[in-house]
Amino acid sequence: MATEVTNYKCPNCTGPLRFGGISDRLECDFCGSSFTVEYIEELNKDKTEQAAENFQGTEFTGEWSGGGEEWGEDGEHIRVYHCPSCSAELICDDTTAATSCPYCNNPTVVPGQLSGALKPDYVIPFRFTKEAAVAQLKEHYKGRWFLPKEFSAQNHIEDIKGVYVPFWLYNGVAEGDVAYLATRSHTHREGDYEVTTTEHYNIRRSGSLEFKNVPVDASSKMPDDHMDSIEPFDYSDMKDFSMAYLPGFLADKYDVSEEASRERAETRCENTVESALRNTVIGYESVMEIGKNLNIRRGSVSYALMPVWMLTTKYKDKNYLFAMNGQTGKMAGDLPTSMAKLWGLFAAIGVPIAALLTFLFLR
Amino acid sequence: MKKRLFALALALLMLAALAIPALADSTDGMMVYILDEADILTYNEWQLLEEKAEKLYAEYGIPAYIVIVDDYSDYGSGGIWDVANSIWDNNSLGVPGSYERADGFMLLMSMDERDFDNRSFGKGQEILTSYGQLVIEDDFLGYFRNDNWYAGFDAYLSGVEYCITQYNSGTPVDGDIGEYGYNENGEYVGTREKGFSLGEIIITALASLGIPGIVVGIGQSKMKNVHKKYEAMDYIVPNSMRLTRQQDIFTHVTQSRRRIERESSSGGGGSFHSGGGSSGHSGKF
Repeated sequence: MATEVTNYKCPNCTGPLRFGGISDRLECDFCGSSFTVEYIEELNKDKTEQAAENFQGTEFTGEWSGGGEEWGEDGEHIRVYHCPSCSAELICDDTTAATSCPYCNNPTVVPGQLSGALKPDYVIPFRFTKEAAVAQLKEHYKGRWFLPKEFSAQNHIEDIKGVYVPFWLYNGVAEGDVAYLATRSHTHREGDYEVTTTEHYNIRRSGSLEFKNVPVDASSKMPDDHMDSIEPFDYSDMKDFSMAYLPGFLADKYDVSEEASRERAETRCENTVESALRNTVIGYESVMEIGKNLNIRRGSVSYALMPVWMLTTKYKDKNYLFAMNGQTGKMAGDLPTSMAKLWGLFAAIGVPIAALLTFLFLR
Repeated sequence: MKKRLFALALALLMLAALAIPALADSTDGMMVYILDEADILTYNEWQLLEEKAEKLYAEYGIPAYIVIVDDYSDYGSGGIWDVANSIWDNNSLGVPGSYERADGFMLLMSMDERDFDNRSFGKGQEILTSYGQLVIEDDFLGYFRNDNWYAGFDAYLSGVEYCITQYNSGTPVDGDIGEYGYNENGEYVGTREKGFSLGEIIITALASLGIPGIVVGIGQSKMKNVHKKYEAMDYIVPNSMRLTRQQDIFTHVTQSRRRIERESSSGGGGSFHSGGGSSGHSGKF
């Protein structure tokens, strides 16, 4: 049966291979062998290309072949594949590029989602394992004064998954021309009067800043603020894309276009050049911006997959989402606040201060 | 009825001549206890106060006088303390007793500069203590500040009577004048009469809410670390900043003048004096 998906098997024992992260190699869970990314890539080249070709030739109808049941509008975003190991049906959405079979748990890749025109330029491999991500989450709880005890004590991680998140990386030059009004003043005394002399200036600053690889996540499933919060990634470890980095993790292809994502990157660059120009206006007591002209000279755009651990916990029927940079370990996620602890601390500080001041003032 | 200087002089002269501390059966129209040189009371008010003071003396055997003048400096040299002594001595006010000065009480009011001297002479010092003086001032000064003279003098006489009855019952009105902002030397050291000033309430509220608010805010900020980014500092190519224009053009000068406020010389709560057989509290109303 022609299949649009593939998996990577151990050349020694045919067990499933997963990308090992820290080892930078693909590892076999069964026999413990490990192989370089390049070796496995070469070994599976034909299989991967065939799966990609099959993917291009397949017309996805949204029908679940198992039940023949109509999926309605949702069917437009459903893809049904067959696990190359156990032939079970894998029901994925239309952006899934790597997943695991829910029946045999074998890592599965959909090469067609990430090949041809959709092929990413780069990938940053995972450097943190699942266990390290869980440990990092526990670390994230430390030093949070108002974290409810039960949250950390009874914390059940509902879901944890390593995802290669698609990002657009923008290059370009931001140019700015900004006008300010500034003042500088000094005061002296004349008899019974204090005289303040204020010098007024018109300030103008023009300049440019070059940016490289400003990231914008290209997946509508990923919350932008979480993705922003785990920045930056270390680009020195960025590799040319290879499917062999994906086994063992989830991966999505982009579903937000480069054009649609561009505005976020350009706004950030414009704000940065504006801020850099402002920092050159020094020696004044007040500076007020009165006009600006900001412009972006666009450069190249790259498409990359970035490693992110997504962790979900549940507390009092509310889900808490944490994202961890799978390369640097930087964790982002809002925590619940114990109002009892918050008001307790407030009172513990406020009441003695009020009592002390009352005592001092009424003495 | 006009009560001019000569009337005061006459009344005092008579008192001095008779060498008696007070006239228990004062003649109608003769100022014996309430000497209103400044003419701020109506005849009816004066009469009522005179009767009240007369009754007080008749009942307790110690007189209370109210002397109201336009400017105390017309009646002697020195401060209001010295002038009060002069008036007391020169007119033989009070009932002679075992103290250096005759026993009694006197409230001297000088209207031009709104000065007052609340004085206890001789044994009166035991009855109307420094603390007691402040207590009764709490009652009568409020009236004076509103130019309600009759009510103020009436409150003074009532206050004196209250202190006498308390003294006679063995519980004189006495306490710590520190409550009123005075130190042990009788010097005014605070601006507060009682309770918090508005500034202190604001400081207390700001500190007791603001400091824990800041601490709690810092703690709460640690609970939220998910934020969108609006700048791209991490992605600037090193040394890529090109500053193509840097103009700082001076345009003009402006000047503003502010008068320097001098510190107020007013003391606030007045001052205590004692010695020579009397003690008193003087100040402004």
